[in-house]
Amino acid sequence: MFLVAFPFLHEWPFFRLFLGEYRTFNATMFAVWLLVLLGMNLLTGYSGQVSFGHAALVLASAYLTAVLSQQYGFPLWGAIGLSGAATAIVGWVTIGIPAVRLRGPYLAIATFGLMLAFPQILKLNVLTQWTQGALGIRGGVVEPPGFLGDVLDGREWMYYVAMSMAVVMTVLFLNLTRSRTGRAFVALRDSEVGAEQMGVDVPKYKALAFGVSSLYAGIGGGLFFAVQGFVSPDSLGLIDSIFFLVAIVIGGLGSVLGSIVGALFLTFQSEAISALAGFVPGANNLRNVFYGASLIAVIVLFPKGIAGFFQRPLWPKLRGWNLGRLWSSRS
Amino acid sequence: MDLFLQQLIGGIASGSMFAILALGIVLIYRSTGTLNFAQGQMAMFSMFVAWSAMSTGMGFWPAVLLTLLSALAMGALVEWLIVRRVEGTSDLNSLIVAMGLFLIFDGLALYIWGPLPKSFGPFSFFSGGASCVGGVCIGRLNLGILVVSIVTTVLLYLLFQCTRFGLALRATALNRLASRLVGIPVGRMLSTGWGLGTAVGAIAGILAAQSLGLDIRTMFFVVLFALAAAVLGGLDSPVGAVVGGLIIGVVKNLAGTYTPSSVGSIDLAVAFAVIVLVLMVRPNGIFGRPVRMRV
Repeated sequence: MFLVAFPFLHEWPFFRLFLGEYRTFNATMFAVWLLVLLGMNLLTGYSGQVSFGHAALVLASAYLTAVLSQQYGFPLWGAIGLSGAATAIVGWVTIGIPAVRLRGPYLAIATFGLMLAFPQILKLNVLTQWTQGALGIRGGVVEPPGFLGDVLDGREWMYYVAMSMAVVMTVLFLNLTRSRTGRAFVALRDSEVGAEQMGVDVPKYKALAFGVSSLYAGIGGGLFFAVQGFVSPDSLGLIDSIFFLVAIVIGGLGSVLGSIVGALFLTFQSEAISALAGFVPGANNLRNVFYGASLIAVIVLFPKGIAGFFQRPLWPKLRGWNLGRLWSSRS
Repeated sequence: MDLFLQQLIGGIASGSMFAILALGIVLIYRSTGTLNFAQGQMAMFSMFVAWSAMSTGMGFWPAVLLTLLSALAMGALVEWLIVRRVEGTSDLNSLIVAMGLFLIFDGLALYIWGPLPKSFGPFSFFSGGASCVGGVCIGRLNLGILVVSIVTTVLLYLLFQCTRFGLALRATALNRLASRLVGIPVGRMLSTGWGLGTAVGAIAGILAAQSLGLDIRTMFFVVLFALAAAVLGGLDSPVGAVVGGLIIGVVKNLAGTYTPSSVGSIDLAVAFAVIVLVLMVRPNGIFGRPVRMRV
């Protein structure tokens, strides 16, 4: 219940009073990241498949939205829906189905390659008439429709759209993960062979996880373009894919709360690091060291991330870093 | 035809650099089953160590030696301190740890050496006139890269095939329990595998710096070609890594030469295409052995 209600906290009618323009933008980006991370968590946290190329899916969908809305005259919301659906189908058919044959490390390489190659593909001269090459595509200002125009400005309207989208998709996500399909994903993650023994159609569900995950990435990507009003081949890159991973691992793999915490992290991390740099000189440059170390520490000590603390008592977990193992030999 | 041969030779030279970077990846994969996505950033870190050593007035070869020793220690330390914590848990965990290492080395280098490119080479061994045979020439840089790569590969081959130590390393990669039973210190072997892989990566890094220069992003994309090479050859096959690296280098160069300029640069896309193609047709690579799965 808390999980569902949480995003509404910002939706109080007078939120403009205590959220400035910049905070509204923050909150909107939070909704976008939440969508992306839900998808990524479904793939990695629930069904156990790793992707280092999730930012490429988001970027692809942002581009599709940009091209459809700016060059082919689609209405923005229609373009976002179409891009989401298209990304889902692409993720399902062209990534999910081939990925069925690949074990973890190989899938990681393939998605890693996609991530590094995709910006270069967007810059190809033959695609410039659609993608505008390295310049990127600029979007128009989004105005709220009709009577809402008197109450809200474009930024706030954007916030409401993105956040309600995120809330609806979160509820759907909760339903999905508690359904037969969701349990099939978890069974896959815990043991593929075991899941097969229990009658789970492994290839079908592995591909499906990619499809659903891509749907979330796609809608997130469409909103990303709408919110930022701009997309270029370098808007999202490998480092963002890695940050998505950091976010869901620190937030908590395999839980909705984990994705929410992760989205908060993505939204505020650069600000928090800048604030930290005020006290610790060089903190800006040390950022990646800190994230990398947290990533490893969380995986070793608290595999369920921050969300895990809300699900289970803390103390037994602290024994996780078995210091004895540092010195003894092992099998 | 001359252009083709010229590009072929250039491709073999840059391919040999991918080959030894891939070799490092394969050595590490064989030792702990971790696919080391941080290989490029660790190599970059070693390159900066070499740069630092040289900026204190050290000669090129002593600096290289120092770098290799520090890379050896660094790799072994990483295995001993970090990778060992998640060993035998799941592929997902070791991939996440690899990404953690990626971030750590990326950030450390940024913190210590800053974002500005450093001037690093080409050194005397890698500069000079081209050598030509019948109209086809090879530049001194490419020749140097080729020689260093060949020497590295041969030395590693001798280490693995002709010494007791190499035998122990191979035994550990093949069957850990049986190795322990015959008295091989398995833990030490796994650390050594990481150390060797990192040191080989450092050599690749120094070679890459001769043509690409030295900054934090030098190895960012190069590692993709090495990964493509390792996948092509088979992730657990050192021979495959070398063959794969050469093929990737040649394909990359030829694709770069014969793609019309109206298309744009496609080298990364080519590497990605190779990866996808290999994984679709022969997921274990040319020389890899298939993996069986248990519940």
